[in-house]
Amino acid sequence: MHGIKFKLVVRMSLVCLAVLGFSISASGQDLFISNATILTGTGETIENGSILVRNGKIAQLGTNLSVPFGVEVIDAAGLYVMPGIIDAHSHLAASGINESTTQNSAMADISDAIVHDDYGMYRALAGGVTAIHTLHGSANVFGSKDEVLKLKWGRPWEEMLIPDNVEGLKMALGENVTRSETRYPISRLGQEYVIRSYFRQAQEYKRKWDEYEAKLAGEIPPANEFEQEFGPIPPRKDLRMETLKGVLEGKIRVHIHGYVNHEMAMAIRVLGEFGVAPTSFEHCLEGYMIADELAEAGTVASLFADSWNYKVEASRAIPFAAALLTERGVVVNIHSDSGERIRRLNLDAAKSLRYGEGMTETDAIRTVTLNSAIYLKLQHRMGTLEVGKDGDISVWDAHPLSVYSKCVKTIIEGVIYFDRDKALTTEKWLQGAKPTDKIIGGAK
Amino acid sequence: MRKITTLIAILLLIGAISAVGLAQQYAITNATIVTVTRGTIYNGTLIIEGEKIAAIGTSVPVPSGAEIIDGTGLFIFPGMIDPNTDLGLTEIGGVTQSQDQVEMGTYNTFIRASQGADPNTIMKGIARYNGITSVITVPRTSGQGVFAGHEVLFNMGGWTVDEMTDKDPVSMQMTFPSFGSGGARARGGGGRQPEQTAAQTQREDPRERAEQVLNTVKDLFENTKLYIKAQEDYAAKRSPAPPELDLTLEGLIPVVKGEIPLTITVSGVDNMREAIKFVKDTNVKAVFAGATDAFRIADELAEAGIPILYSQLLTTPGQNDPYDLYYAIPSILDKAGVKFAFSISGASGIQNLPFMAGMAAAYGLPKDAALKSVTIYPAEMYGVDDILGSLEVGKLANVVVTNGDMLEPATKVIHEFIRGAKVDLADNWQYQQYLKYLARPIKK
Repeated sequence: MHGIKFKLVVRMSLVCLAVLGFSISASGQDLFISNATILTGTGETIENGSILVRNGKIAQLGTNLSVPFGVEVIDAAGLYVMPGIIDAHSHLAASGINESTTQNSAMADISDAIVHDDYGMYRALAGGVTAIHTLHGSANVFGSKDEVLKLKWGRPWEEMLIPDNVEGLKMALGENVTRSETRYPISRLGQEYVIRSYFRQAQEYKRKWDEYEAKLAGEIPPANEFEQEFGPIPPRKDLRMETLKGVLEGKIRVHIHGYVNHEMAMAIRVLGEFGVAPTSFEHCLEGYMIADELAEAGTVASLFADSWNYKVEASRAIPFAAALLTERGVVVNIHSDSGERIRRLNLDAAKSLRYGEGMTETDAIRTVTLNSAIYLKLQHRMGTLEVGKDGDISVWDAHPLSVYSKCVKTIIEGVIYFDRDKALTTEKWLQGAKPTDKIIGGAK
Repeated sequence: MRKITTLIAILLLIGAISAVGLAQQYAITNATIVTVTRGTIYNGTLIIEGEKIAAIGTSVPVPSGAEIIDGTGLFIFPGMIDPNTDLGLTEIGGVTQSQDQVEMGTYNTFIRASQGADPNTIMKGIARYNGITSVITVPRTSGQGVFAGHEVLFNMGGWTVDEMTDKDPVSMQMTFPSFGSGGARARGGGGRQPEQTAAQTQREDPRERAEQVLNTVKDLFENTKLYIKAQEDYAAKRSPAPPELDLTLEGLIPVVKGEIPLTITVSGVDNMREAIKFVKDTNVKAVFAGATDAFRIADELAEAGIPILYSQLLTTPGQNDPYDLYYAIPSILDKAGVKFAFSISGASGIQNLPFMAGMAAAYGLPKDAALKSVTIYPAEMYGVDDILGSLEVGKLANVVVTNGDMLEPATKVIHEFIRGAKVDLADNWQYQQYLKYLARPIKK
């Protein structure tokens, strides 16, 4: 009797271990990186430093760490390590990005259009990027909900999601919205009205639902005999309004595509009427003109490093914006919005040291790491190399702010997803190597 | 009385100075001088006299009247050259009305880029700020156009087109007709292009048309030779009348005489092979622009001695290409002995020119070749290496003083000289915006 019970316990334990083991391999692994120059992103640089990643999380960081038994070691002697780059504005991995037939497509969700094997993701990994914020486009005032993906190339997309991510809504202002000419609005005047009218409706919608829930909870008495007998009648569900209600409740981030100063200032004022502050302005080319207003609203300036003058609303951008806004207390991130620029965001970050005064190396690195994490409200798990955060790490053969550097390894939660040694490089290709899924994937 | 005497004395002094014609002299001392062609000189002094470099070395005496610039800890480089740009011809990419790069017509040999260019373009100050002191401004063809016209070599100083012009024409821009396979006709920049009708595209066999075009071009070359001879005969009084005026042939005179190269925009292996044949047949000097896939026939290009303009560095490779293909192509070209220069056809991205060269160095191009590809190589390709492209005594003093490697994004240009004149680096609209909004009183 006792023996049988014991065997059962052992068997069950084994099953548990197996399940546990499986879940570890899917979500996070152990890895030890030794002898690196570690740019932690906190301001601290560790020479000859080591990082231990356990179950996908950074477990130890420092010098003189010992390698635990059985953990894979990357000897990073002569190499530089920094947090994985987070691109705060991307359209990679989405099969469609504009539901532009309507001025408000807030019912839509980019998560419904995710392409898990968009090879642009692998190209991005090769530039040290570990996570992307994939957004709806800028064709209409209210775009759709967004998605944040870790670039776990080769894995199903569900595994790329971040468990405690809050959702975000894309909105847009300016030329891209008015370009349609056949759909209201065709001016910035109409754009303000569209924003205000939908949020007024959302307030009304929220009021009805709050009232309904209060009645359910018995906080307000039933309105009539019918409600008394059958309970309160729920308001009609409206998926557009559900998203905007989430914004009003502070549960959904708001990312507003904005170029010129006055359209962004308008958005701050109008959303302010509803008790909402924009989480970020996307591209934010003239944000430097309203630095204090951005700082006051706590809105992140999500910038291009130096793209400008390709259209009228881009004609007053300055590459000095990162330095100016940082000095005025605005959180600044530098994004790609491009399958090409995403491959060299480290250099776009370095440009913030060229243009203007006051930026430190750490400030520059943060424009593509910690500040993007703050923007996504995921700084508790991403953006710096600190104990307890995700093991999302990029490894470089020279200082990553140097034009002469290249990414040699990109690691997400302790798993190597890009490895230059295994990747199909031009050099190997010229010697006859062929592209295969395995080489392109680079994953284990 | 004493005031008048002083005034007279001052006037006399000014008169004396201008009478002697003392050229402005500068001495940059104690700097690391990267000459590009004559090695690197440490703790060196560079003397500028008038428009030219007067002396370089470690034991160069500083002339008594020279303004001394302490170069301790600084680096001196020759100014960079973008040999293929729309600078001056396009202001805002998305605004048709600000684009003058493209003219209608097929054999526009008589067009002169210099005459449509705006010497006050906002891009000039930005190019200078980033160490680019020369550009070649290029007209482009429309539709099935073949010759776009004369390119001009501009310096980034001066108040007028005349003051900016260092050589006009410096090249003739030609779009090579497509022989069908080998992909699209390469074209940089935007611009208005009359659309061809569906009937037109269907009716014509590309190869047949391309051969017709090249026969026409060869006829034009032959006629130009006859035209030159007729002009010479008339000048030498061997004939009673000059040739009948033909501006199309006149535009080709410097090409036929071999005084300037033909910049041939051509893409794809098949088309480039045809273009190599064309260059051999016609015995013109040539530079290939666009030149996608040039690396696939690098040996053939090297053998033909045809240099190329490389503008694809910032291109995302296709799914089955090596992930670093466009970063590594310059190293392939360099190993094969193909001379190349980096270019960015759209002036609003001109600040990226040095970083393109630097990134190529990260992916296998020797660092000195990277530097040459934005300085002496373009100068050699366009036959202006007697005045530009390196720090050598007697060359134009286009001199860039930096606080680091000129190809690094984090490096700043500290001083700059164009044709010996000290550049006001603050004369950059973007920088002025930075200063203006930096000085905005902090909102209470």
